[in-house]
Amino acid sequence: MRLDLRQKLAILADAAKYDASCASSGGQRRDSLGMGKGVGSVTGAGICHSFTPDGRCVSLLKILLTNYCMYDCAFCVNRVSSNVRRARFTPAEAAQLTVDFYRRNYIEGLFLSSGIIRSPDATMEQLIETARLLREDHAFHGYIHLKTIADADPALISRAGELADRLSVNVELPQEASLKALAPEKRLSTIRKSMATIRGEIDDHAHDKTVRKKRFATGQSTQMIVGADSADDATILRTSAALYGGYRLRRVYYSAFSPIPDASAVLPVRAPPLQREHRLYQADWLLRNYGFDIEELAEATDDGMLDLDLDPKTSWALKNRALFPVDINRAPREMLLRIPGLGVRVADRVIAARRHGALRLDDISRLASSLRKILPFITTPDWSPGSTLDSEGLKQKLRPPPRQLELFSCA
Amino acid sequence: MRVIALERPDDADAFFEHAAALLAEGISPEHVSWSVGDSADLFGAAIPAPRAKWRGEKLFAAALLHRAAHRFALVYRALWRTDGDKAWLDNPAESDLCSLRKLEGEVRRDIHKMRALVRFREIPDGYGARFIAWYEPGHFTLRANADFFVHRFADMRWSIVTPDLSAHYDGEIRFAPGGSRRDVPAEDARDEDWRTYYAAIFNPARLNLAVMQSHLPKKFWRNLPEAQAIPALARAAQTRAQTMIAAPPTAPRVARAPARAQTTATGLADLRAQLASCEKCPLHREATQVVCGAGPSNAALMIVAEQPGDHEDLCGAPLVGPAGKIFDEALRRIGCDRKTIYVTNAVKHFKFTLKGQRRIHAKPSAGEIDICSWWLHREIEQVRPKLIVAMGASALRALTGQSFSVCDSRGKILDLGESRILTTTHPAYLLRLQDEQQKRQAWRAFLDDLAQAHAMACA
Repeated sequence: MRLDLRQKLAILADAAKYDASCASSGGQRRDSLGMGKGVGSVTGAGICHSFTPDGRCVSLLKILLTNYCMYDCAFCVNRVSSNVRRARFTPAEAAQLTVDFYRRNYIEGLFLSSGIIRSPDATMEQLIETARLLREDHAFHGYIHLKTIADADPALISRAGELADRLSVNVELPQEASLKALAPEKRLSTIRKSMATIRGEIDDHAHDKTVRKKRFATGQSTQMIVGADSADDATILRTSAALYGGYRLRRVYYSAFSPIPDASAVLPVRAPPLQREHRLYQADWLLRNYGFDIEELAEATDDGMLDLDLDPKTSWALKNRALFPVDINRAPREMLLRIPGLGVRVADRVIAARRHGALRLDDISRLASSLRKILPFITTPDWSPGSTLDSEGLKQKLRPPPRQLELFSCA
Repeated sequence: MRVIALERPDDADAFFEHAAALLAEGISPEHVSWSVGDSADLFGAAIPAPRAKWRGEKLFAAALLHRAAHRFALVYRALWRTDGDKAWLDNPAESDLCSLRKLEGEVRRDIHKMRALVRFREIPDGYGARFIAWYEPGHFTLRANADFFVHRFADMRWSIVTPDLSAHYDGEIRFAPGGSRRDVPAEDARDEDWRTYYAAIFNPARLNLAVMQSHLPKKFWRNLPEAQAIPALARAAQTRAQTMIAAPPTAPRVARAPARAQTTATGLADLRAQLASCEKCPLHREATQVVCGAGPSNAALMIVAEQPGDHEDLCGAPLVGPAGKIFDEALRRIGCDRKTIYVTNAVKHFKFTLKGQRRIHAKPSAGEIDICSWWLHREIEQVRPKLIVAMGASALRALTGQSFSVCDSRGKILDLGESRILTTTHPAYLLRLQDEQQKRQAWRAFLDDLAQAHAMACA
């Protein structure tokens, strides 16, 4: 039976939903008015145009060009041995759909990936053709994220970068051994090599200060599946740290291994470890924005696993109580950032405000959104945590009352 | 009491002009009352004065778009305070500033939500198509936000209708009084596709309505075509997830794809292919790729360096980073063409430690050198160079199996039966020297060693 466009859309969006990345931020600023034609703009900040009932943001039209695939990755809904329905979009159909959705302001742009058909190069060429149609025939200036096929020719990767705002290669699993067992056609070395190629291109273009320089994607990201193999959180975070260090990734996305239709017999499905995923995002955030070293985060774990009830910064602070309480009026910025419950913005406001006189507790309460977490770890002229900080019960006290889990917003 | 009536609720500029005049007159905040729309009541208003840009203007201008009636008084009080004390704005703990930041934050979120949640409906008109949206902003944000839509939808003719104000774009932006929901079609031809997409991209195994509603409160739902689908998706989610978990695996659809063909290369090419999958030591786990030697298989001169660095690891070629640049410069000085020599490393994978987000080169251990020297000796067997230059202690260890000091061996020829070895410093050593005179001496010696090696190999 021939599938109509809507049926294909249902199949190819369903096939794409296990990819967690959805950011539309960090692209090079441009807009259709400035370009003199066409439609679309990138402002640098991402926009979530909707939220699905799983609490995840809908920013881009996230689809596969096709869910036919030659590979047999056990965790993947599209693996060759799965019995899911298959479909494919032509590049022209995918491009037209993107523009139609964009003009109605449903989306920021396109996130395009694909199953591997015929060969990695042939697949990559189809993705590039879709992006080319958008940029050249539709004069589309919105956001494009292209998934890069790891084994594709470097020349194709560099062509993709000229059309897209972001490229990504999925590392899939945190350890080579898991990849061997669960994704037999994939190699960590090829994945890393593709990332190195992309980093090289991004660096070269960033250093090119000539006026007529070619545009190029401004960032790359990747995704790791959490809970499909036995890797612990410390291992996962070490892998992330190495990826950030080696390839200057903008983001590592963590995707809790989720039940899929027609799951493989080697990977029995269970409810996705959402809280674990959330803690990994928080730890990753500390790594990138709070000056935490990977080994400090590893120390904050219990036998390699992050505490599910406490955020990683609080866990770290409880294991390093000797460094607290921190004097709000004297501590350097690096130390303010180590206080649980106190973020970058509040730290900077504290630094600005204390130049005007010693901050008291009610000053802090105006600057920060909540005092509860902060209090045991700070001193002000009118506050000291006293022995609370050393008490056995502090950990118990900081555990949040049962509540709905807050997921990471990703625009 | 001065009563200032502003014509529009969202005109920050008019407000600022009035405020400038009031400040010039020295009217204190408790003697001013602000309102919108009562154009009849202009009693006591000063003549708006031209003004310079205020410090903190972005914060004030945003806060002025808030729906709260006290916004004018709050901003005027802030301007009054700043007028008397320039540093007042710099103290984030000031309570009026906290209140202003709160208003500003709510306005910015409102602006952001409008950019996200406006939904255009396409209607044919005399010139082709027009895109029209009905939207209910929380604050007076449409005028400030119109520019975003102008830049984004440059080739479209569009209108956004809100209860207070409407914006129309036909190559020029025009504002008109507000309208009602009935001015805009309820449905677009693409809405059903959009709902299909929305339903398909949702993962029922992750249902979490609380988080969803924290990002997308119910008040927005009535103007979003996709929101109609939410109740049914939420109701069915648990059953769908449990069905997936309970379903037994089915028989695989097709046989596995055949494994890729093995390479049939010989000589150096074969060696490279084998080296690519080397797991003799743990270094392969962290490195990007193995970095093989490069150069002709009949080269008379072979150069052995220590191991790939950050650069080499990313590019996959030996001696191309900062030390490689020095090496190339040395070759140029002695008149040796790099294309004629074989350049390789004692250890073929990059070894590093992470410092923050940087990969810092780490010296290979004797054990790692010894394991990897197996490959180096296979390269030597293939290339059979007349002379090998060992650059640094690691290279010397890989070639001899023993630890010699570079200082003692430098410039001397070691005869190891099959091959003759000349030892020199590693170019990275030159990079590390701080003292200028030492640096010049070391560079001279490095050039002499390479020149000697080149002459011997070419003889």
